[in-house]
Amino acid sequence: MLFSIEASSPVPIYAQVVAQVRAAIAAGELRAGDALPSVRQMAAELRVNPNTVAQAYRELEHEGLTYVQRGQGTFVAEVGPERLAGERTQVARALVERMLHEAFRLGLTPAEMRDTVDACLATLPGGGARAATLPADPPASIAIPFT
Amino acid sequence: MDRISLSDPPTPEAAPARGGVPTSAAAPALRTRGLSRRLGGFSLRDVSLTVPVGAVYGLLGPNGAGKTTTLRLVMGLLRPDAGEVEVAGIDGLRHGAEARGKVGYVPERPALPDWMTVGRAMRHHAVFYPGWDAAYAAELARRLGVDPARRVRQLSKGETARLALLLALAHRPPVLLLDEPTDGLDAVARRTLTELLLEYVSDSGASVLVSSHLVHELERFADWVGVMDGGRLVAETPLERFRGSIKRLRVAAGATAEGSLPFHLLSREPRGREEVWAVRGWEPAMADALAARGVELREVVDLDLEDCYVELIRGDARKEAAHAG
Amino acid sequence: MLAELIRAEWDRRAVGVLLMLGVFLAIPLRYAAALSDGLSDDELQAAQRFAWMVLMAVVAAAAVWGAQVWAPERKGRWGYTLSLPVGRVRLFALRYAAGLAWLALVVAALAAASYTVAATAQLPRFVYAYPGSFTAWVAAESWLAYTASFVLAARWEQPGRAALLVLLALFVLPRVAGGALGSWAWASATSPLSPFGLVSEVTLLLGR
Repeated sequence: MLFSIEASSPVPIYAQVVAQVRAAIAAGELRAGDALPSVRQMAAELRVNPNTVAQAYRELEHEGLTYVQRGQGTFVAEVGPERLAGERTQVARALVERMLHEAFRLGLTPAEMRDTVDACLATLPGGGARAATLPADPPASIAIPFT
Repeated sequence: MDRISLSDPPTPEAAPARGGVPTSAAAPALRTRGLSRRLGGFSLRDVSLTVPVGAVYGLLGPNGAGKTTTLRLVMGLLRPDAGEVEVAGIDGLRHGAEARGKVGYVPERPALPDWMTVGRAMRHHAVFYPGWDAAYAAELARRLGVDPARRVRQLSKGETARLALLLALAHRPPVLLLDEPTDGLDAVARRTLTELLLEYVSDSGASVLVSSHLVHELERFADWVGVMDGGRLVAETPLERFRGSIKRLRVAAGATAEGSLPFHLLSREPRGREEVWAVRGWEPAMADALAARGVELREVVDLDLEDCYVELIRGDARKEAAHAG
Repeated sequence: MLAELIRAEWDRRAVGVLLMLGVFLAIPLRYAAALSDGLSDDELQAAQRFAWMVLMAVVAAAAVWGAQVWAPERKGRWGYTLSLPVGRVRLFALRYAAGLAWLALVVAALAAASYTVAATAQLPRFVYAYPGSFTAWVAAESWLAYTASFVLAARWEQPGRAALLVLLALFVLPRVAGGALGSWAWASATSPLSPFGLVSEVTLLLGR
């Protein structure tokens, strides 16, 4: 599991880390008992402040998604199927809300968006099963050139 | 130029053991009060900065703003005309040697005894620092690719920078003072340096004051931001609050007079049928206040650290020009 | 700390130290060889001048030595040394001692050689009260040259200028002040206006 952060995003770094871990858990990439990188390792790899990583890990623990084993590190907790489904829904909602927010800002209508979503799903090879090979998310806010 | 504080004075809460922005005001890692110094045509005036324990404090500013001078004053390489310096609770002016012992310093242009070999320089340096960890020094040498057999005068700029960082870290100081540590380094060397630095901070909980032009790098790991311009410290605030406070606003053209605005207007530029304002002191609640004043707000644009910093400096420059003109 | 600095001075200037050791060990031996054949008046004068040359050489070396202590710092604009966790006074004292240690070795070598020569060869007594006062004379002058150079070079940008100034003060000024004509070597060394004129007078008295 490779994490990445974007420092210039308006989303705080710790929140980006939390979101990525949640998404990984929701997608089943991180399973119960998997070890997360140590704070030290994560901070060095991402080149972010260890305080920030620690903050993210505390948040995850607070939400019950991870637990800490003293001397061993941080591990993914057993997450029940309803909780997992809930996380998946949250991830989906976050993606969709972001997309819709941008779309409405550009003046697109809900009807246009619904039609476009259906059309895209229909044209995707294998009905979206190969989605995992698509490139990662674009930046959180799209820069619009001034009129 | 007035010193405008983007933050309230830090409240004396204990810094959390891990996580969150360190904001302890009790015995900070580093503090200056009213530092002033004339140097040729340049004058540093009334610089009061505070680095909380365990924080990474990024010092930004244009060339000639006084960042290097400030760091040299903290290290006792220059004596201030006025003001105080406190490092890890030690008075830097009265007990300079003791204070320097607590600091890992990487100067702008490291000037090591150039006739020595690297290995000799390390052994020489170790003599002055009781806390020198030879095993850690050896590991750092390996990680940084520092070759003990080479002569210091033969080292390239990048190699010198890496050696300087090694010497600064190997005695495990509680405070790091870094003046453009990655200046002139290639991307690989920069990454390695940054990784080592962050690992050290993780392990030791050390506090860091780093001045750098690489704002994008700093943005990743700074807790606090200090901005210097024209010899003064013009801003000192937690990073998130800094970014939260400085925004660009897209407003309809023909907006109201500036005097009645709840924030500080850094600049306003016409763009077709709109205007773009750069503002400081923004709070989300102000969107409503603007509507009440008849300003049609179209969008609030988040800025990254570099854009925030540039707008702040340009805004102050415009203000200076306006006063002078 | 002092041990390390002394070692560092050796590492930096080993070649210079060895060279000086060699030269100053050899001089008294050469001197003795010149004297052993008996002396005429002219030869005596020559011998005196020779002794005097030795002094100048050692003092000049000491002056340059003192000035060069700070050479690495000057090159690095003082950044490294002053950022060390050592008080400035202590730092200066340590560097002073470290440089002096090797100079002392050289002067000691000269003294040892002189004494050896004096013990083994038959020298006329008035040959500048050799070896005791000669050694004292060399030691005192070179110590002063080193110290003056050391202090001046710490403040000035050009070490050459510091060394030169010291040598001027020690040799040329007393001569000018004494207004001596003729043997310029004697005038500056023995003029009461030279600090070393004083030392040499005292040591001559003691050597008697």
